[in-house]
Order: sequence, then structure tokens, then C-alpha cells
Amino acid sequence: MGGFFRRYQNLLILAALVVLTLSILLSNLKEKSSLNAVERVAIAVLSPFQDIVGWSVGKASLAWENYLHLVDVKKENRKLGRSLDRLVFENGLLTERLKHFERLESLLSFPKVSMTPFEAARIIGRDTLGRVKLLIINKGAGDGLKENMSVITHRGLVGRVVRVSGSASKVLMITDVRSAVDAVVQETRNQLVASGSNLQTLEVRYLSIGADVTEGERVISSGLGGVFPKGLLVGALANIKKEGDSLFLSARLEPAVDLDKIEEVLVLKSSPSDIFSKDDWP
Amino acid sequence: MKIIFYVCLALLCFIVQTTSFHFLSWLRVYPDVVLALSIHGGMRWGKIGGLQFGGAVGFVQDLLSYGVLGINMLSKSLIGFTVGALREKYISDSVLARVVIIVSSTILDLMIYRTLSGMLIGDEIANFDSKAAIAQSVINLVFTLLVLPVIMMADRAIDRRLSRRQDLFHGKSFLD
Repeated sequence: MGGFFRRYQNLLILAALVVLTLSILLSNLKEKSSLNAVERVAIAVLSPFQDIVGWSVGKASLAWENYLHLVDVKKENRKLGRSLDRLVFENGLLTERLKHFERLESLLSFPKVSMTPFEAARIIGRDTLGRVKLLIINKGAGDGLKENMSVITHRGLVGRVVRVSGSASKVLMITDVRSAVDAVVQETRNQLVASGSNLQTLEVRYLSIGADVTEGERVISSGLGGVFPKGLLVGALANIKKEGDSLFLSARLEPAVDLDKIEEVLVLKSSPSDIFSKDDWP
Repeated sequence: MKIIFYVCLALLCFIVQTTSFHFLSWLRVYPDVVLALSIHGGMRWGKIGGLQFGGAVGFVQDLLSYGVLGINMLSKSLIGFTVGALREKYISDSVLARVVIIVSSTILDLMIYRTLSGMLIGDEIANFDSKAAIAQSVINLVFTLLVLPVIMMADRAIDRRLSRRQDLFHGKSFLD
């Protein structure tokens, strides 16, 4: 018996490891949360170091970029000044329209949209190989974060929280193949689903063939998917095509946020249903 | 001491890989430090050591990612085992041999990852993208060829230090 084990020792160890790996794989498929605790420990151990290294690397790259940008700063300053004037003008018009809307809202006794509480977080890591479109942020359960909370920047939607540990969380970006956002075209209100495809742009699905849409039109979340609140900017339509006998238009969606370059995000600390709270209904 | 060195090395690799490597991406592909570690494991300790070390670092890589746990563990342990087995029987220490090992390991890793993700997630992720495979092979090749000698040098330095200490314990001076 001992001779058999000695003779096939290498093969037996290999077989044991393969069986162990496959059992982890299968148990994980069956019950997704079975290894959550180990995952949490791994993130908890690494996140403080990632925080320090990520911060230092971020500062170094910022210093380098700032130095490079100094070259064109005067030209850009003038350009920004012009856009600021235009935005101040637009802001005045929009404030007036908002007041008008608020008056109508109170007249119709519509529910008031609550100000959603949020948590600002810094990106301290990404997926090891970029195969999964994943971000690791420096806020976790200790800061009140929970799974499925939406993550945004001031430009638009980034993704959702998928794993939470004490002081860090994993965020799955909208470009990942496992992500899908139920959305509408802001202008025409045509419905669509924006699915991640592990590329820089998202795939547009179920956009009706009769939809009167043009490239560059803004797409916002519809709030119907149960994960992302209504009204968050997802991106702009691109490459709209009619394909054969399909009932739907083929198109891509360019994310509003440059997901390769973001450094800080905001986590919305309430679910879509909480945004219209029950108390707000008349 | 050796164990501490390798635990610290693995930790450092994971920290650097998750925080800084997106700056080094080429064609949206990053160098895979864990693959370099698995290859080193196989070359340094043979098939069983390579299998165990590859499996351990692959498991941590899975924990830091999202999705199905175990894919990287399986691919990295098989790479460690294969490299160890080849090293014991056929392969010399030449640069050409290393190039062959790194490129074939990258392709094996990609094939295992894409096949299993395709089977388990069932999406376009399974499509084998030859352009991405070439990019990953090139970037891994350059990176691993640069990193492997550094790891081996550090490893040998620790070996020397340990043997000196042993000599001191046995009454010999390291100057002998």
C-alpha cells in the first residue's frame, strides 16, 4: 500500500488539488456566498496596503499630469472661461424651470424626490488582470455600504457594489459582462437595456426598430431594473444600425464616465425604492 | 525565513498588480504577476512545489477578483505543475526555454480561463480573442523575463544567508 502511494505520489497530489479546486468552483456556483468570509478576509488584509500604494501612485501620476498640463494651461483656461459663461447663463434658465416644476409638483401632490445620502470613496485597486471590470474602493460595511448600492461620479453611472468587507468593497462596473442597466433615451423616452461586454462601450439591447434616435443622444437609467435609481446618466448612443430582419436596432453606448481614469466615486446609500420614500406619498 | 519572504513577495505582487498595473496596460491587457510567480514556483521547487505555490497564489487572485472562485487557482496550479515537470525532465535554464515556458503558460492560462468562464458564466467572455492572447503573451513575456531573475537572485541571497547562519551554528565562520 505504502509503495503504491510512493509510486504515484505526484499524480495523487495533482489529482487531489484538481478535485479541491473543482469542488471550490462547484460549491461557489451552487451557493455564491459560501466563500464570502474568506474573500472578506483577503480584502481586509490587502486593502490598507492598497490604500497607501494606490494613494501614492495616484499622487505621483497627478503630479506628472499636472506638469504636462501646465504647457497648455493658458489656452485651456480661456476655453473654460467661455464655457463657464455659457453654463452660468444656462444655469439661470434651468433654475427658473426648476422653480416652475416645483410649483407644478406641489399643485399635483407628487411625491418629493428625497436627497439620497451618499458616501465618497477612493479607488484603491482594480481587478488583477482586467478580465473582470472591477474596482476596489476604500469604504465598506463600517461606512454603511451594502451590496447592490449604486456607484456614480458627477458625470454619471459607474456600477454597483457587489462585495462588502469591513473597510473596503468591490464594485462591478457597468462595462462588465455580468452587468446590465435598464435605461431610457432621455429625449425620446425609448426603452433599452445597456449590457456590459468587457469592452470600453456597452451593448444596446431591445431598442425598438421604430425608435427615432440619433447618435450622441443621452441615455439615463430607468429605475426599472431594481438596482440603479432612475435618472442617472449612463452614456451616449453610438453606432446605431438597422440589421437585417431584426426587430431591434443595433447600437453601442459610450459610458458617460471614463471608467479607466476615475479615482474617486460616490456610493448612493439607498436602494432605488428608497429614493421615493413611502412618507413622501400623499 | 523563506516562507516569510515568499508571503511578503506574494503580498507585494498583489498590491502592485491591483493598484498600479493598469498604467502599464497595452491593448487593454496587463502583465500577470501571479503567472510569473507560478512559473517561478515550478522552476524553483519542481512539480509538487510549483503545484502548491501556483494553487495558493491563484486562489488569492480569485479572492481579489469577482465571479467564480477557483478558475485562477486551477490554471495557476496546473501551470506550476507543468513547468515543474518540464523543468525536471527536459528544459535547460536558457532564455529560449524561458520564452517557450512563459508563452505556453500564458496560452494555457487563457484557455483554461476562457473555457471555464464560458462554461460557467456562459457569455461572450468565452470567445477566444487571438489579438488579446498575443498581447497577453508579449506583455507577460517581457515582464516575466525581467522579473524572474530578480526573484531568483533574492531567493539565492536568502539561501546564502541561511547557509552562513547554519555554518555559524556549527562552529564555522562564514569567512572560511
